[in-house]
Amino acid sequence: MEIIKKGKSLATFNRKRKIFYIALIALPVLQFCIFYLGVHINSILLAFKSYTLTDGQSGLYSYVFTGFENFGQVFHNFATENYLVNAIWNSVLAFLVGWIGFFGSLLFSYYIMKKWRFGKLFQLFLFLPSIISEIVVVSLFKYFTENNIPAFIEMIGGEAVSGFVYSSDLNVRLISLLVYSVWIGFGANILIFNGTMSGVSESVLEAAKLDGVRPLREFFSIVLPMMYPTIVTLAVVNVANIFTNQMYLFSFYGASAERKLYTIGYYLYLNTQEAGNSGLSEYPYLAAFGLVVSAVTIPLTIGFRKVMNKIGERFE
Amino acid sequence: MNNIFAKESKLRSWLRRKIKAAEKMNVFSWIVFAFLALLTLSFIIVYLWGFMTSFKSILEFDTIGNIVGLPEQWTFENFIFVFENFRVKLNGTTFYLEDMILNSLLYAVGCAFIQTAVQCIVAYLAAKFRFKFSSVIYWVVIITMTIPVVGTDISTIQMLQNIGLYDSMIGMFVLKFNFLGAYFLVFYATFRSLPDDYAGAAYVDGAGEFGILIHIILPMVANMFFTIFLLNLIMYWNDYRTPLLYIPNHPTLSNGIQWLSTSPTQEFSHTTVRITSCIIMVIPILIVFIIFKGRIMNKVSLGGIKE
Repeated sequence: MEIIKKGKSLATFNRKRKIFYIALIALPVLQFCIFYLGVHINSILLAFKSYTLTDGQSGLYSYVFTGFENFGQVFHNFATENYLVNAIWNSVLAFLVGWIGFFGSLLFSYYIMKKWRFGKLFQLFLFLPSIISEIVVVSLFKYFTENNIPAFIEMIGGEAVSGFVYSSDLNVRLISLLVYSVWIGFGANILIFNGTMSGVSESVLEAAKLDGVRPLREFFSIVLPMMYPTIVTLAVVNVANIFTNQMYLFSFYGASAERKLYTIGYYLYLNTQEAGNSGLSEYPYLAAFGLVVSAVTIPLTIGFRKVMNKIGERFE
Repeated sequence: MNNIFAKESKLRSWLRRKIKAAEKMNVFSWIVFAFLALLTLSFIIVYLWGFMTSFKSILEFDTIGNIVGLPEQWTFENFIFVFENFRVKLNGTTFYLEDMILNSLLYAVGCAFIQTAVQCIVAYLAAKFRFKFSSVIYWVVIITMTIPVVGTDISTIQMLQNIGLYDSMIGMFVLKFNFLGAYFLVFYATFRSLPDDYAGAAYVDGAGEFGILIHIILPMVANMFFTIFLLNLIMYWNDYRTPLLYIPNHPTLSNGIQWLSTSPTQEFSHTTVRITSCIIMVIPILIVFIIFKGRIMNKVSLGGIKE
């Protein structure tokens, strides 16, 4: 049958099949060309342009190519604006803290896989934040820590506290955000880890059990190596998101987070949202900023994947 | 009599299972159990507190100061207030709760269906029509997932503005008419594993390509399609950042909650009202989750297992 022959060019298919194939694939490919290739090419071009408003009434802009001026502005801002340098550190901090949730969810998935006590119940509650809107979970957490915890501390005779998420001490705010990230992060990958762990062969686990392998060793020496491809995939996603991670800032504070708490992801999102509502003049700077960040993220992600694959070869 | 014996034997087997489970527990599992129990308890406390607070009157919460305890008088006044008054003002236009629900439904159902359908169809073409261009499609998906390009939103906004689709639901649907992403790979793997026999037999019987796709292939992956559609639906229902960027004047319910939680408007400044609006937002998605819990929680895996 024609369907299963490999490596054919379109010319060798009969006419009806050609029409069918082209009819179905044309629009998605066109969409890809415009909204992926086109957008990326436009993003690069934007980074080298500068827009000026020529007619305020009709909102007409004219542009000129300005070479590396926007990139210069990006590096100038990094050199002079403390909060941007801080944003890098906050992004890295959020990234590092994210691993606690990552490894926690691996461990908890193993517990659920082993069908130990209340495993299904734990799975349900860990997964719930993934189906409830982030803004709702953040709001509940925020109101709980701002209202309930101080009231409870006072009720049991403790010293009055003024809340955490809106504390006047920015370090307390930062710690609250990180605590929230860890709290919510435990359930983030639980479904995928559970799904993959359920594919670990029973016979392998049984054989290990007969050889006297205990659960801790089974987890580290059998289960983790067997689901290594999944771990790598999700770990790479973590690395790729290092500078898009907003540390839930927008959900907690909207557009008014303190600058000292900024992450690169929040800075980019906030400025993109504001620029979208105003005019073209900010577009080139943001495009250049995105390219600079990508220039760091892409090699970092590719390098990380390579290292992880090298480590994976040991398990072959 | 038989019923009593049956119940007794059920009880015995349940007890046996529990004892067996308890026997399996060791130091390691007890430590993890303790962590999990604390974590779950913290989730339960926060959800329960939120649920209870939505039934407290503003007077009871703000003035009397009953923040921690059970409501002294359970009341629906917050729910009534939210249903009657919840509105968002954007650029001089007022959007009421029903407008936001409608926008949420349009955005979530529309985007989820379009994206799932496009990924499914393109994955079918790439998996079953194996010629060079199909390989290109497959590798495009892999490469775009591997290379994290940051900050292209502004360029996408400009592109949409240029073709007149910025800030329109149609523009949002056009953006989601793409085959990129992890679910493409899930569909692709499913189609690759499907035998060609059924489609081949139909082909010999004179069925056309569209007929094979509609009557044979799609029913075979209907379960998978529905599960991925549900996961996308939940994701889009909850998403508030994307609408804020691309359809800023079509606020969804999520946008409304976000606006409410940071809004200085006096009438919505009460914690009980804000929490109630959160509860209202969660109800539809919880219903979907309760109905399809098994389907959602049992079907997701990624990356595979090493043999």
